[in-house]
Amino acid sequence: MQRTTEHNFARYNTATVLLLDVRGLSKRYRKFDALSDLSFSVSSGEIVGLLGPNGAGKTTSLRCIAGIIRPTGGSIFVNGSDLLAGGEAEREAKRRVAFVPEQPNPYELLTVWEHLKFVALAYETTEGFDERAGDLLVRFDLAAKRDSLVGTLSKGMRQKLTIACAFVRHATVFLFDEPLIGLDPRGARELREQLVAAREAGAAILVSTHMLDTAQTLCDRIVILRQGRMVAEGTLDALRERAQATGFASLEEVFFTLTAEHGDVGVLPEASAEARE
Amino acid sequence: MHALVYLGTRRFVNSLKRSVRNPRVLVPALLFLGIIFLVVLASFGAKAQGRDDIVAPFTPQEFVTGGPGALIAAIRSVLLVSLFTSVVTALGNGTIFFQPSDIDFLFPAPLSRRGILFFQMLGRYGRMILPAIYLPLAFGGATLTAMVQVSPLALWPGMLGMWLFFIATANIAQAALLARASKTETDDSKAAHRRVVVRRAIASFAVVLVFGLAWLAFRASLMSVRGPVSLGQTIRAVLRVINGEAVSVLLLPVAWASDLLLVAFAGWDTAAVLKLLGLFTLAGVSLLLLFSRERDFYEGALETTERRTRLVNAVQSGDAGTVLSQMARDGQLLPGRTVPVLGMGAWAILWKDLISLTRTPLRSWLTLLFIAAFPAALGVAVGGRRSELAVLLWLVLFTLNMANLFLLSVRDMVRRVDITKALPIAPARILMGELALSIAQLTLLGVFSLSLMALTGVVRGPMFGAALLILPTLAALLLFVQTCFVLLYPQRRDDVAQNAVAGFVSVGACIAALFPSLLIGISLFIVRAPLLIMGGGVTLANGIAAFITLQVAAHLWQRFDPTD
Repeated sequence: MQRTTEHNFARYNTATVLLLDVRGLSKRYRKFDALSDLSFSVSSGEIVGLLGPNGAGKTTSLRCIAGIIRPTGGSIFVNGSDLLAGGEAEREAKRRVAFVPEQPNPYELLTVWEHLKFVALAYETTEGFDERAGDLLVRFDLAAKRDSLVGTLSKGMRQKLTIACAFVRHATVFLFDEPLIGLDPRGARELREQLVAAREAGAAILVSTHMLDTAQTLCDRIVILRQGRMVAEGTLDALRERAQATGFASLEEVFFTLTAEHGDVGVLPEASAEARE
Repeated sequence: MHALVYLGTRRFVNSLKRSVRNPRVLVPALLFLGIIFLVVLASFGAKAQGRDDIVAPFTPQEFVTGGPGALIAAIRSVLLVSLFTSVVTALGNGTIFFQPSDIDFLFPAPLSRRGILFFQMLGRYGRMILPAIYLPLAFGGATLTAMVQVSPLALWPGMLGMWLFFIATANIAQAALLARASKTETDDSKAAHRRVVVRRAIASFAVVLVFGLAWLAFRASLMSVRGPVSLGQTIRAVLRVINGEAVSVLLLPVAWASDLLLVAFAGWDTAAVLKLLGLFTLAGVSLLLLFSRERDFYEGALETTERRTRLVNAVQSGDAGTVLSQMARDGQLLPGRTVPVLGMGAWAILWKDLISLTRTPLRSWLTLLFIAAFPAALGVAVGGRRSELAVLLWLVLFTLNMANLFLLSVRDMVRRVDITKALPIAPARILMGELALSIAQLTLLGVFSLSLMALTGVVRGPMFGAALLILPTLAALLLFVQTCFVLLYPQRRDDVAQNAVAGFVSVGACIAALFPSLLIGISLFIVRAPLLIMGGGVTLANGIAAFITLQVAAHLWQRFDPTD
């Protein structure tokens, strides 16, 4: 199969639209606050990086937005649908979201093709499935494994399949939890291209990552978390300004400054306040 | 729902295809199915033959009136055990277990929670059909159907009744678990209060169930005889209680489900139809009860799945470190204790295992101690009747079963092959270092079991001494044999088929390894040698066999290639 030059995305919107809106999100486990009053948004045609040290609440945030765990407080709107309302509103929100977890766990007893088909069925996006799925298999080097059981794939291939599952449906909001870990260079490049293509097509993308150089080159905005709270949010230039760094400071330097453990977690209390506005 | 049906169907079909293509899975599966089929065939065969030579001791009418009641009591016992198991499940910490794939792909999908919940429970309902079909056939199988001249197929109302009962108890147990595990409330104290109330209610039910029935059986047993109680009298007393008013009235669904078996002998009547309808209603209501907790299960399932997956993977790959750290996370591990250094080389391996042992809480041993106490309890139940052969048989079976539990250190050694194979220690000494503590623990468990038997008079002095003599070498031999199979089939985590084959073959090898000692034991028994002499002979044979097996295991370890 020849590699196509077109990407899988329909053009969702030409104008910027708020596709993901998170307000006052909190998650409490007994006495432990995993997330506290987290607010941010992602618009169409935007890639936002979710950064933070281990245990900052990145995965918890993504799982809340994916509808896997229920927040203790706050609201999550996807394309205007309330994810936490239950019923049809929740399902409508979920139809728009594609979540790629950090550890790939696809169904081992399905073939690669069947897995993509199952996802398309679950998200009710079977129209044009064959073409979309075939294209994704080529892009992610999985065409030769089309009829192999997932259980026979290597970890990297499973990761590619999980990513392909995110792109096989018509999602408008993409959530990636450490997507580049485990991918070979070609797979990593393909994913970056897919992300950029999705952004150009008007999708809203939220990427949690520890790879600061990737975040710096790929993301339009950055949200930095520490101990479940947002400590800063904005473009790299805005973050440099907040961190009182020079105009040449890398994201890594800015990140370490902003997440340094001196005083209260709200090193930059105005960041959260601004983000909430 | 279409997606869930597609998922279930494709997984099932692919699983069958894979099994058929892989003889290592196919052969054990065929064996298992063959056994099931033979039992059913025996039932039909007995019916077809007519067996006129057997005079049926019970008429169909006697079954209806509950005269002998053995079949009903047997089925009721199974249902009561199932009920008790459900109560224990409801008291546990986990909720419904989903596969990690379900969490990654089903939970974020726009599928209804009820659909996902039902889909998951459907698999359980399917698995429950097997005991519901098999148990009536096994209990009421060939002999009974021959005696009372009914077709095994006529038992279907009873099977359906059992299945509905299993479904209802499973649903209610899961609903209770979800109610306790719910994390949707923002009010922590209110949620905690509800968890305590639900837990206490379930625990009270369990206590009343177990102690109530035990008390009734005890009273019935005492009332029926004067003087020492025999096994037969105890069994009759238990049967009376199980078939009696307490179960029939207080545990109505148990009575309904078991009574439906009588349809096979007496035909349908209004009461039977009502009982079946009652069970259908109960199953339906229990499902609605479970659905009422639909908002609670994602998060509980996520926690349960993550914890169990981590633990299962760790146990299967022999990752003792992760097992211990999971126990520490669950608050089950004792704080660190120091153990004096024993020495260099292989002694360091033993020292490392001892440290782990000191951090394992006593309650981890409770199940093992309970199993070890079983023969003594059985001995008391049968009135202290002694059987040397039974004690020896118990000793072998107990050690054989327990040996597998004490192989974690060897699996850990295999998993950390990069470290352990690089040690400048002879292979046999490495294995001894890893297994010494396991041998000691296994021996001590056996000593505990034997001591209880001696205290309760089940085993006498000479037999006790002989068994104590046999234990250490028996434990060593069986552990060494099983170690060989850990080294031959190391990929237990990834390959279920390999796991099953290794299990089958290693049991066979253990029996073969015990053959010389068995031969010596029987020979000495025939020449009426004293029990202690017989014990010594068996110990010597086992010791030599253990030494040889250790050398084989060491050879396998030396040649062990993790990339092979």
